[in-house]
Amino acid sequence: MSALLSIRDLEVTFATEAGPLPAVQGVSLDVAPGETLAIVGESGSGKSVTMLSLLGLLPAGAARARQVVFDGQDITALDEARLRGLRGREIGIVFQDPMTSLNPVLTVGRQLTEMFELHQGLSRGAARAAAVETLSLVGMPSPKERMATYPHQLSGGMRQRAMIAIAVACRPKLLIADEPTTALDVTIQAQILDLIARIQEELGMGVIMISHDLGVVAGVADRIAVMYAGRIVEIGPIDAVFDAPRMPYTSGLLASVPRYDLDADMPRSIPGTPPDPLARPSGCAFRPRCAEARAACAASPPPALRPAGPPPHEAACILVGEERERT
Amino acid sequence: MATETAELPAGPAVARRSPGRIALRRFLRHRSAQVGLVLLTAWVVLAVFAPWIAPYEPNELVSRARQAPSADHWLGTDHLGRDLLSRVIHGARISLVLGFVSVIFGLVPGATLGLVAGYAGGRVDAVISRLIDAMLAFPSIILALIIIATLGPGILNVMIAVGVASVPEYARLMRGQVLAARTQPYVEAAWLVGNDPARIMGRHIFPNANGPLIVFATLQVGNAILVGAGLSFLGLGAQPPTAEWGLMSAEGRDVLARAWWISTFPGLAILSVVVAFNLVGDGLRDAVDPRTRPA
Repeated sequence: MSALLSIRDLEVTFATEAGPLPAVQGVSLDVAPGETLAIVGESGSGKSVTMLSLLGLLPAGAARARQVVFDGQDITALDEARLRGLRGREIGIVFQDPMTSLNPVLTVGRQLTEMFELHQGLSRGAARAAAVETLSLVGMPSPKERMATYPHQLSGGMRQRAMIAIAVACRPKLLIADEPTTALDVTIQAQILDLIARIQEELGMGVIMISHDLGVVAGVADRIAVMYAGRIVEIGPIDAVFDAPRMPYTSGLLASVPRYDLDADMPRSIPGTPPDPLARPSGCAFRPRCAEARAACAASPPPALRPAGPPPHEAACILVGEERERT
Repeated sequence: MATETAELPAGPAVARRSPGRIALRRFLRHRSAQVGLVLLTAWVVLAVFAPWIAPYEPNELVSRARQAPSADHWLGTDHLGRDLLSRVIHGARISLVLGFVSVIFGLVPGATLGLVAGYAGGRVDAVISRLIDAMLAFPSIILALIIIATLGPGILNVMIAVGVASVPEYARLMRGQVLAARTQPYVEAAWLVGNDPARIMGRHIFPNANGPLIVFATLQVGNAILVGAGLSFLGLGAQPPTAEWGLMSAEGRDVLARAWWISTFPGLAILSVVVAFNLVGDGLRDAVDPRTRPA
């Protein structure tokens, strides 16, 4: 099956007073229809910036990619008006904080019907009916009555449901969920994740789930991409990556997650902090924090990942090559 | 503001507690706003029903000139023998219309400029902001005088002058509000779901940025009435024999020692209307500003 979204060699550089800041370096990834790809990484690793650039939301000239193909068309070539038609209709997005991402002076119904009027040209009445239907799709109790409520009248979980309703209103082919559960209670988190998974199945959407929480993505993702210092350092099917991480950074991340199901030691943190993006170390950016680092790591950047094909499990690490030679 | 919100009642009866309604309720409970509203309502009633309430026509010569207040003429008669009470009541029509119309002349272009400047940023903002700065360099009364001098005297020109002179203040206020509102996540979200700039400005930014503008406009109605009366007092606005408060004050100026009422009562009328608008504006400000929320 051909990819729904395919990004090749995305580079994002911000002009700062201290010089050009490379936020994303050479990111390539594919998302298949109906697939959930998780992108994990710490703050500043470039995961959100990758998605914003996809939607054309970065300052002009910041993002450059060899190719970004969405649903058969190269969207790097689209003008602003065409991109606008894509956003919300073909690509839905769910934000981290549903309190601040919903307009406080408009009712939930108004914000939802807007989507139908904007993208499908529906009349007021038809848009209203579609909105009520969408609210019930996201499991909002008594959806008709909720249409008239304002965001501040809803609980956090209900707000996130409203947010998801807006995101999937036009039945997009791709849903980007940027830390969709970070602002929510743990019990609500599970409900929201289930909801996204259910809607994905019903609508057959591709989903990109951005998170810093491995526990969140473990249950929902098909594949996982781990980002560090602006690069994808490991990508592969979720089970393969969790069972046998190939990059020491991924192993470190997994070891830092508290587990109740394993009789393991206390979670271990990765020593050190991510490098200053203005002064990244030569070669592998993770080298200063890596227990397995050796002289060769400083010499050249780790090999680039091959993103295409049936889901391979790859890591941008010198150890991978050595492993292959050994076996 | 607490992020905690009350859970909704399970039933279908969800109160429509929009932010506007909450503010309205607080406004109506505000003590000085109540005083202002009563005063203002009284003036509006007098203005609307002036021909039926006023005992005489405003330009009817009813008695000898400069008669002191009496049972026949509650506020006395002016220098030509017209009933001052009738003239003050009719004057309310001109002053209230002048106040509202001047504010609209200032608010609409001012808010539009501010909205565009704040939203577009960059070069557009730079041009509009420098224009605003240049206009703000003149005191608004001087600006109004310059405009009147160009257009010629007359009540409509006073409205235009007072309105245009206040454009930069509306624009500056609006621009600041828009700058604050446009970085809100919900504005970014509106952008990300495919809204065009016009819709983002009109639907998502403006309703979240107009609170202070409404308050300022209300206060500005009183100010416009005052400036308008001032221009008429100087002979640049309403012309005789119009029953306009500023002009009426001017007409009594020469005989202030012998007939104090001719200038005093129109002056008190101006005072009470301006105070009423200020009280209402203060009440509105307290109602929409979360920082002054009463405990």
